[in-house]
Amino acid sequence: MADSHEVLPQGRRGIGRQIVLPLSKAFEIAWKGIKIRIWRSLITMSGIILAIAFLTSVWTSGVFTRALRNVKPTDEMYPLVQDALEAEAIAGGGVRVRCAVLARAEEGPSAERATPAVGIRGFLDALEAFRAESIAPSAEAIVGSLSGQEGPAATILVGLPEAVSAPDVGRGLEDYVKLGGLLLLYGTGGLQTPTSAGQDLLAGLLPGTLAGGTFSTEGSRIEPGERLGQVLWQNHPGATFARTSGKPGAEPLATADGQALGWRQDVGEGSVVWYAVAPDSEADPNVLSWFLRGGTVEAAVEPGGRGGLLIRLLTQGAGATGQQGDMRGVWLVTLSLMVCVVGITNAMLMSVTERFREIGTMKCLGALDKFVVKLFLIESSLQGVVGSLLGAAIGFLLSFVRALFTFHITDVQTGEGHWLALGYFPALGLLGWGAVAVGTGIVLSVVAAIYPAIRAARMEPVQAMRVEA
Amino acid sequence: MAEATAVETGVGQQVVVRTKDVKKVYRMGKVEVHALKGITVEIQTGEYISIMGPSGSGKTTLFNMIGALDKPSSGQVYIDEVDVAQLDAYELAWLRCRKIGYIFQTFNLIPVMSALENVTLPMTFAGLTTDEARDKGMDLLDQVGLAERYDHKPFELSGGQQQRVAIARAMANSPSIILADEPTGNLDLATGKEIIQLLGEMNRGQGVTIITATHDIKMLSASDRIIWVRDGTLAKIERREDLDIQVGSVEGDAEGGVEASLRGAPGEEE
Repeated sequence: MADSHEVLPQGRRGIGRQIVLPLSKAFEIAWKGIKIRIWRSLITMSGIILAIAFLTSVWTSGVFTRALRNVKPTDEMYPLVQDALEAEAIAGGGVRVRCAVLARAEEGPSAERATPAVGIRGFLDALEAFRAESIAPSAEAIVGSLSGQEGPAATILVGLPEAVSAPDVGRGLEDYVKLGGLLLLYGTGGLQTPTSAGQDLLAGLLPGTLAGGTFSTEGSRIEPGERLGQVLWQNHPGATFARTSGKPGAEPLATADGQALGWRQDVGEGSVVWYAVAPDSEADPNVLSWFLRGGTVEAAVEPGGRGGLLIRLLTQGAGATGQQGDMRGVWLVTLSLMVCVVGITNAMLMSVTERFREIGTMKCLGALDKFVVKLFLIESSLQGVVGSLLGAAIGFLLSFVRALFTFHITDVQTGEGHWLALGYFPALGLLGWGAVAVGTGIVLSVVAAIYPAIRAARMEPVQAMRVEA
Repeated sequence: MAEATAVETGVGQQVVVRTKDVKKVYRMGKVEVHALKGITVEIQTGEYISIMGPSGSGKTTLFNMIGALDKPSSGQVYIDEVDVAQLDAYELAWLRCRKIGYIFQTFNLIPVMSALENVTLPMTFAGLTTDEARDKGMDLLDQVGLAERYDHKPFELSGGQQQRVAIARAMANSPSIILADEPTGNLDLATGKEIIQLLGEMNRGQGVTIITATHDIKMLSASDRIIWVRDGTLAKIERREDLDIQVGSVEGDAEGGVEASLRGAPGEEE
């Protein structure tokens, strides 16, 4: 007691400099504050939780989409296709097997709806054609593989006009042709009377539309000896094919005048499958672009030298629409982050205002400005950590549920469902984006608290004297 | 020692707070308000001082100057012979932490902290270890009679108890001065008396200088000197011995009593 009563000489002697407390002390006090004011903190946190949940769901659903879209149809679908082939074998050669595998993506926004695989083997009757069409309403091609008595016979390749998309689910193939879609019917070498076979087929599939097309076996042959080589019927006369070179692993096909058409690919021993379509470029240049923009055409299954097709079709692809989607996503994310920052700043400012007396008192008790800043920044970053973790968990759950239903595949024959999101869970990618989202949340909440913290620190200690609340 | 000198203000006493022609001008829009018009006072170590005056008299401004919470427009405030205006932020924080203990009308305990944590907070700011602070804090709580309620949060304590904790907190770093702003303003009569008594005990027992700004005439009988402020000037300084003992008898109506004495007091001086 005695030393504090010493009379000090004029000047600064006797006055010390206040020590700067270690961060742990500020942490201790901030943590206590959060625990006691838990509801207040939760309200502040809810902004962070919502923003990070949104962010996480946007990012991780992208991870799901990318991962699951790249699932090779063969991984999941081959067994189904093979089952179908076995079924054919039991039935005996020449007996038609219908719609061996119809797989579909059932839900999700139409823009992202993917049809991982549509494999059709056997003749299509009108009902089946309709079914195939309804399965992949927004797909850019529907492929049927036809099997004649003498073996694999023909493939139907339908190009759909751009105007035809998800809202046109009720349409049949006929409508697509009327809309300007390109329809090609390819015959394989084994087919003796391609024209009549094609005619029969199309008469079943597209009653009343045959007048528009041309049946031909001339001028459309790609190469002798190839199984799928003849254009049996086309509604765009004059489409011709020629080879060009360039694409590794898959040979590009082009029209005689060098216009790219598509690709052919050799898959395994004895199986040659190609998908190419050539519109009359003058007549309908757009048709080509539908195909070039469309999904990738993948492997073929041909055990025993028979033609089964597995076509991978994707509606969301490269090009302008994809970039627009990206831009929209970036804008949404940016906007939500801005809203989050403003929300946190506002909440922190409110808590500064609410605590003017407490801050004033602390400063009367000897708290430095620095300490008050630390207190608020720690409080905010703690809220950021907890809020971001909660938000990331919620966002992940949302996108997981979404992916689960988007990438659900049903085998039409057996009715068996396949949850691709479970089988191909992209754990690493999700974890990465989760970490990025949590990091963003923490950084945001600290940044948002800087201004309120400085305002709190500048508060005069005399504020503690104010009587009104 | 402190007890012996407390009532005397004669030559040879140690001056703990000194103001020299302190003036304060506020700007309220285009109007200049002269809150203080030149006040010179000296407060001795160990004194119990009450600053009295009606609202708007400059009482609070003077009080804040003495507590290093506000800076004068002109003139100087010396605390332990150090010109407060010369101190930087670190030195001011040090001064507030160790030299001055603050007591508020609204108690101002940190709501998230227990009684003990409130008392030890200034010690934490002063750099004491947690163990040292806890022992010292418990001692102080014992002195104010709240040792067994150390773990209670402010909202679990009555107003009087909160103010006791606040007194313990003000004493945390053994300050030279305790500044009490209307310490009984939010308390009922009996509790207010207890708090005044407790402040008196601290004053006599620890020798700490107590400076209060108050309306409460109960405070008058506890004070060694009363500084009357009126209209930004020093109206008069009274010693307890010179007080009209009548004032004490109307404490049932505290506000009225003060008003009465204010009306009377400077008049008597003239």
